Amino acid sequence: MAEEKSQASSSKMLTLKASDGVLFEVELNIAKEMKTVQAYIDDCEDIETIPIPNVLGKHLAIVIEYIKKTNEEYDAEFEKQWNMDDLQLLLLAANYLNISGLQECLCKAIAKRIENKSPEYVRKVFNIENDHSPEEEAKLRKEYKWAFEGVDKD
Amino acid sequence: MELSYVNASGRYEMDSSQKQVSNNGRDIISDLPNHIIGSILSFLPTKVAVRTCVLSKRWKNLWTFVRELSFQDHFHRIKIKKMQFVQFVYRVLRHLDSSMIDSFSLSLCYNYAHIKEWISLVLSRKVKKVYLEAQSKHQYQEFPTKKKKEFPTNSLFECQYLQELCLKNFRIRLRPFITLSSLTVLKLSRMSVTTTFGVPNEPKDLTLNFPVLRKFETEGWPWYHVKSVTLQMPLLDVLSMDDCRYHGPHVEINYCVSHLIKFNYTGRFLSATILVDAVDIVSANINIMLYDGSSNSIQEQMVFVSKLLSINGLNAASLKLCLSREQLFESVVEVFEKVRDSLNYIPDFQILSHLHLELAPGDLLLGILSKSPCLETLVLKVQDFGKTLLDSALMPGCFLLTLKVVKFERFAATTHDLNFAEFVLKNAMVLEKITFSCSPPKKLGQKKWKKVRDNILSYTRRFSSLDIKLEIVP
Repeated sequence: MAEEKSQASSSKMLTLKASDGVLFEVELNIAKEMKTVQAYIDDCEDIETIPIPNVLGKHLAIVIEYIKKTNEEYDAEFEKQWNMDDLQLLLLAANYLNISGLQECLCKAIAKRIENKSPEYVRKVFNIENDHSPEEEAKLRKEYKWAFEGVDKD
Repeated sequence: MELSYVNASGRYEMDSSQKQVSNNGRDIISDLPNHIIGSILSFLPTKVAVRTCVLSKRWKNLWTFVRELSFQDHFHRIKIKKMQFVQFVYRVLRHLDSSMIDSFSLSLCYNYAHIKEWISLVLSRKVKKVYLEAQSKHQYQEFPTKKKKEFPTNSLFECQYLQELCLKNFRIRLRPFITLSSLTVLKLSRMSVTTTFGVPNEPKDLTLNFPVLRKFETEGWPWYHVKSVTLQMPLLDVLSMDDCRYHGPHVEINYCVSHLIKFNYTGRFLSATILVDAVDIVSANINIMLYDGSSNSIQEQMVFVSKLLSINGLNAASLKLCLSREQLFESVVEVFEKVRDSLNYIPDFQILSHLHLELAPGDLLLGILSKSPCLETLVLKVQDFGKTLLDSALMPGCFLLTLKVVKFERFAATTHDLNFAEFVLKNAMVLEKITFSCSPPKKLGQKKWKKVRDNILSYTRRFSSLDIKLEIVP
């Protein structure tokens, strides 16, 4: 979308285009927090619209909001709003866009949600298919016996 | 509740109609790069992280990408199997893929001869942060040094790339000169430090050199058997001494902390000299718990308070002093005299501008006020302020020129409370704000408060503007 604002050079705007076509106008210094975008800009200086092919509009919106608002308080509350699916997709996005603060915040959030859960629960939540043979699994459980002591029954 | 059944290969499965269709059934997480999964797992206790090895073949070794390790040998008060725990720790330390471990945390109920080797293994991986704690039943109180576990190795105090070190509940013997050139955070919690190498009865001088340390915290009094301690910490920002109490042979502690910004002392009188060589401390909180001991001790305690208040680098803007007391004085009159007399021996609190008194028998209150010529803020719980005192007391100097804010805590509108309120309102010439804070069930009823307010307002007519507040604190 063409903008008719007159910009001071210090608040240059950039357009990011999500995988589903949604466009976001962000200030340059916000976009630079995404190291992938920074690299893009470094390569082609005059670019105005940057395609972000791996991230849906709804997630890109959340990421941009995070960058704008991040601080200790915000981060503590941030993860509570999202379900596990969104957390994973956001982590994928943060990883692709290379935003270290957001990555760490999301890793911590995901960890918190699986902390006291059994392997069965974790598989279900992440859709992990168990391709261990029963013997292999038994062997691992024996090798790290102590790790399986006192697991919560969900 | 989910239905489940045992399938043909003998494993539990979810009834497929109830299978949660999340992210269209895609397994997104397993496709993330190893180091990201390692990051997630690093936030879990190592025991939990290792469990993921059974999730699938892809996950078999993903736990080895963690960079933070934490082990504890106790949970849910279940008796732990020591041998299994020991084996587990060794297996993890040996199988870790990361050539570098960022942090290593160990919280132990039992003693293990293996601790020394575990530490050696993590040091060889260039660990940056180490947290070691011996759990004890006496979690929240001091317990005798004899009962503390001996720390098995000094290699941590020789590790020049260590950045953070937190130790709790150990006895440790240190060499007389210690330097840790990368350490930025050090916390000694309920530790007992000795210097005696060899000859058990001769404590030595200890010099600790931490050129880049930013934060130094002690909980309890760590210096068990030392002659003196000199701490060279030229870049230290925060010095926090919590729950200090010590009555052994006299010790001198010398903090060389020219850069100090924040100072916190909480605890009692110490039979120690604390020297702090700072320049410009931005914020200082000193909390002393006075107690009724032997006949000289009140005076000793006030002298100690006075010495803390004359630390280099303290100034009026930065200092908050809180005096409270440990137990009810048995004979109130006797003790007042001791305190009043003891105040004669100490210089004025020239820089005290913010004072919090948890005990305030009238004489002590007036005594301290008279010694604080620059006091601007007074927060107190009035214990005792009789009519005779009200009628005869001389106005303290700070009332004339500096006292601006007074706050009554746990205000119960007793005669004493009201007497002191009257004393303040009649005499504090530059008072700007007065607050009465009470908490239920001592909450004042409407009628009573009205009476109190009228009473108080009668003294406030001379003020052109005075902020009066009643606060109910839950």
